[in-house]
Amino acid sequence: MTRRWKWLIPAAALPVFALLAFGFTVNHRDIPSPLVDRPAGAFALTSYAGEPMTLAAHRGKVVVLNFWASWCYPACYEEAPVLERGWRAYKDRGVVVMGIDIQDTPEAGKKFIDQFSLTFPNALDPTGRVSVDYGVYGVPETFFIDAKGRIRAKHVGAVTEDVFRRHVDRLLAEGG
Amino acid sequence: MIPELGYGAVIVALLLAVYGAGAAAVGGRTGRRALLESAQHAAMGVFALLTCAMLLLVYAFLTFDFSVRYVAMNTNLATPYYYRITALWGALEGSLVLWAWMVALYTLIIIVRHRHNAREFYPWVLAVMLGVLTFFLMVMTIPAPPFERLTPVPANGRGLNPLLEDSGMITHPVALYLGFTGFTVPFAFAIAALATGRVGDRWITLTRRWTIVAWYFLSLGLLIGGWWSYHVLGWGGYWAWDPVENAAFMPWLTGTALLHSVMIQERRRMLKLWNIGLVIMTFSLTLFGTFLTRSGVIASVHAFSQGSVGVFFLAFLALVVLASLWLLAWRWEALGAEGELDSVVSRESAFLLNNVLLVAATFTVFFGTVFPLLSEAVTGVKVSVGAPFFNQVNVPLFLSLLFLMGVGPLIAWRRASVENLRRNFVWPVVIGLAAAAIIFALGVRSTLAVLSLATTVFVTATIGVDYVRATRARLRMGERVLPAMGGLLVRHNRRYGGFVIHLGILVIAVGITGSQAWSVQREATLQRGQAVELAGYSFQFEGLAAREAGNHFLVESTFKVTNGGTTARELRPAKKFYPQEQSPIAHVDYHLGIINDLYLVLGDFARDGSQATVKVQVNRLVSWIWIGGFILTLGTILAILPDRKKLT
Amino acid sequence: MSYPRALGNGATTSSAQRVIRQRASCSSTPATGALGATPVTSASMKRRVSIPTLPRNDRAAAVQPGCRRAWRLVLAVLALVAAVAAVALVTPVAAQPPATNVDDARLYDIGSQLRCVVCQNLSVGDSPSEMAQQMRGVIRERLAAGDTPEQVVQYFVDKYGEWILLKPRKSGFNWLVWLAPYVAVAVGLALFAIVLRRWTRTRRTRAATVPGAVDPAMRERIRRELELEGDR
Repeated sequence: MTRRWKWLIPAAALPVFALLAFGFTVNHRDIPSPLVDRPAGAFALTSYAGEPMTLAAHRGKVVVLNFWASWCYPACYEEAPVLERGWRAYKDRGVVVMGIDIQDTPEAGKKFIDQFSLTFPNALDPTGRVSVDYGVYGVPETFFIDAKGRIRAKHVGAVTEDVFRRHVDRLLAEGG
Repeated sequence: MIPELGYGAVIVALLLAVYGAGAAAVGGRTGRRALLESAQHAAMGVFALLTCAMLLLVYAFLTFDFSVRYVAMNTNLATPYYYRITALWGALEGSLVLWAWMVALYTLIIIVRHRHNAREFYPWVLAVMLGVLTFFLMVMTIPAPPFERLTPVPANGRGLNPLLEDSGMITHPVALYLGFTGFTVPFAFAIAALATGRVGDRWITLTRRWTIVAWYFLSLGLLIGGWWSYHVLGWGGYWAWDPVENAAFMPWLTGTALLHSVMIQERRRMLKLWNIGLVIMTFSLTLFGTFLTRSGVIASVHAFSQGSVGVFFLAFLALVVLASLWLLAWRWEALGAEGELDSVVSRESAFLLNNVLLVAATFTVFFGTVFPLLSEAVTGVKVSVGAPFFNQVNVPLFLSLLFLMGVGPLIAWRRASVENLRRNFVWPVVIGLAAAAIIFALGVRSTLAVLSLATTVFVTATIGVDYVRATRARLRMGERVLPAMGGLLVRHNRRYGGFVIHLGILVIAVGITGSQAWSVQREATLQRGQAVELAGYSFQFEGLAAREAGNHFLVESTFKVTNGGTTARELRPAKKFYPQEQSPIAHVDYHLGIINDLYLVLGDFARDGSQATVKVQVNRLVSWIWIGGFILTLGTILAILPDRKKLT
Repeated sequence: MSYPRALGNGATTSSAQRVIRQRASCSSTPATGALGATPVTSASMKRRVSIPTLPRNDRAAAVQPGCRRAWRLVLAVLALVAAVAAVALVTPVAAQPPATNVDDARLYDIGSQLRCVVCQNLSVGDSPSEMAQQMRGVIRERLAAGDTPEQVVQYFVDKYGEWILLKPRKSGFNWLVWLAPYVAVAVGLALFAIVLRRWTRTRRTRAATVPGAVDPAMRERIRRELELEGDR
């Protein structure tokens, strides 16, 4: 090997370090959902209040579908009041908030609902079929579905007032 | 009080390490003994201070000193005392203390062993060791101080991660770190060789035992990690190609390559450049391993934590790699190969091929591990590279290596004549082929299993052929059988130690083959009294029982296991509910056997105990992996015995 | 270095070879090996060959050839039997019929391709977590409904994205990771070939490494001895 080529060897290591440094900027839990702009999956569950809960019944309205669990602390506990307030504010404007409780027991779910006095419909997903159908990989996750039944946004993590308003207002504006 | 003392010890140790590294380097350059002596004292001081720091941290654990953040995060009032001691290395900050302490211990051993017999290298070795210590002490001072205070002092700690409350977790990090840090020493010697220009065999001869001991501890650490994964994590497997597992596996691969290629340098004075490169690669991969574990750069089940620690490690890794490669390039000409061969068919080429395959496997594992990151960087798409990929691409490489293991030790140096090949390999090949036929006839249809087992028989036959022939030669000299056999092991302990190590690897290979090819599992939801059948065993669900158990709440199920009518035993898989954990931890129950392992994991269950979901597994030959580990230990002990006739 | 006490098996020409072989296998400096062994001078060779045979060995010489062959045969049979036994010990499992029904195998097959989304590196087939259990339920349901394994896998990819697959799909950029091992081995073998070529290029004659003038017959003996020595 000629004298100059040997210096390539240390240089060849540099791209590797650049790549590893890039790794610092990546958030591994933030995975883009392939379901955005696709039709939302249908489901038929029975709510904690004993009523049937389906997506099809709310066609024509903006739907906020929230996946939660009673053991999901602290995020689900932070967003429950936000969702309840959002529900109360928007329910007369053509918006529906629904909650799906996953990997949980009915007793723990009821206790959670009572704790936050949630009035929007919540149902237990006993087999996990609905959560898989929505590509849920953790809790909490919230889907914003437009009036035509398409998923328009997915929010991973606790929903804040700001996030709620932003998505719902946007969908309401275009829904018309 | 304790935290302040500990923190002070770390800072003083850091200053001593910085001074010592500089003094040793300058002393090496200028030849001034006084500087070297003071660097030596500094190193001893670092060791003493690190020991103090470690003992202070353990004391804080034992006295429930929750004012220390590390103690509060990793224990609570209910943690048993032995886990409180081993919690020392249960998380990031403490693991750094352990790592640094081991490097300091090795430095001390170097001082005792090598300050007279390695005079020309000694200053530089000391400088490198103290340099590494400087880095770790710096991390212990700035981003991850183990003695950081917590205010206000909580009444109770968070508690140890329940998965860590296990004997495997007590021993796995210790063994693994002894291996990782052990490779610092050959690296230091290699750098010393490059710095002084003495790139001949001396540095290799001096570090031979270091390398094999470090390699052994790394092997042990990997095996204990596999054992821990098997009996705690609840999935019935021992290796998942998780990024952090890969990060420990890669230095093992290059370390194995190194063990073999140094033999070529010792005998034939060839591959000098390659050996130094391999040592640098091995040490860099150990640093890469700690970087991966501590930086969160690649998603992994092992990852300790995030924070700025990762940046420190990446910077140090880059420094080490670039500096050592620069030194290597600088001394390039001096490392030219002198040797020559008469034939491609020779031991040198077998060892070289062994190296090629091992390094190719290392590259494959490395590339697969970082590829998700690369894909995201280049295309923005997140992909996963997991076990199916690694198994698929690595199996051919490892099978070839297995085969080489039989060829290498018996083939002649320089040039293997037809006579030599015939004498050594005819019988093993015949036996191997016969074994393949027999295995096939017994009903095994998996190509890989047949190949793997037949190759294992072939390699065992080569070892047998060699041992039998050598014993017969001694018998002809008039020795009796047993002294002849024993005498061989003792007089040629390197060779036969190597053979025993190979045997250990073979046994592990059989275990891996069996468990991958023939293990079966089934999941079922059972009512009380119902049973599920698998592989001739019947697992009957008897019921559930719940109780408080120390620092957790335990729901235990009982299963009666029968094998064709005769009651074999009772197994009790359980679920543990820890207050500090969001989801319950599955507690596996298992029964180990030479051929069959019974393995039960409890899933969902009904509150009233009338129903439970269980996953049952019958795993085959997994115990061979652990047995192989014991054989590996024996072989290593044999190999590092002091040579009877030669000078060290 | 110890010398064998009983030497020679008769004064036949083949005995000289046997003597050398004996001496070679009895000598014991493995680490230094072929090149490091004490150079054999013609004087010492001659001395060894000319040691007279003892009466005891005459009888031994007469018996040896046939005895040795029988001994070898016994050893071979024993080795084969040992191999058979070892193999049979290991593979009784294979003789048993597959103990799971086809559904279990199919379920695990599909499950092992999918990444458990909460465990970070286990497959859905392996993971003990509740999420994985539910995903396995979904797989079972879809198989029962008539989906092919590929359709089931595609369903999960549609819902979760490419990262749910534990093996990247062979398309586009992902080819890089699939080809990398082959490229690595190819490059390695190329380097291997280059290095071997360089090593075998310069050949020094053997005579140059052995001091003193040596006649061809002696050279042949030396070569054979060094070879046998090199076996160790």
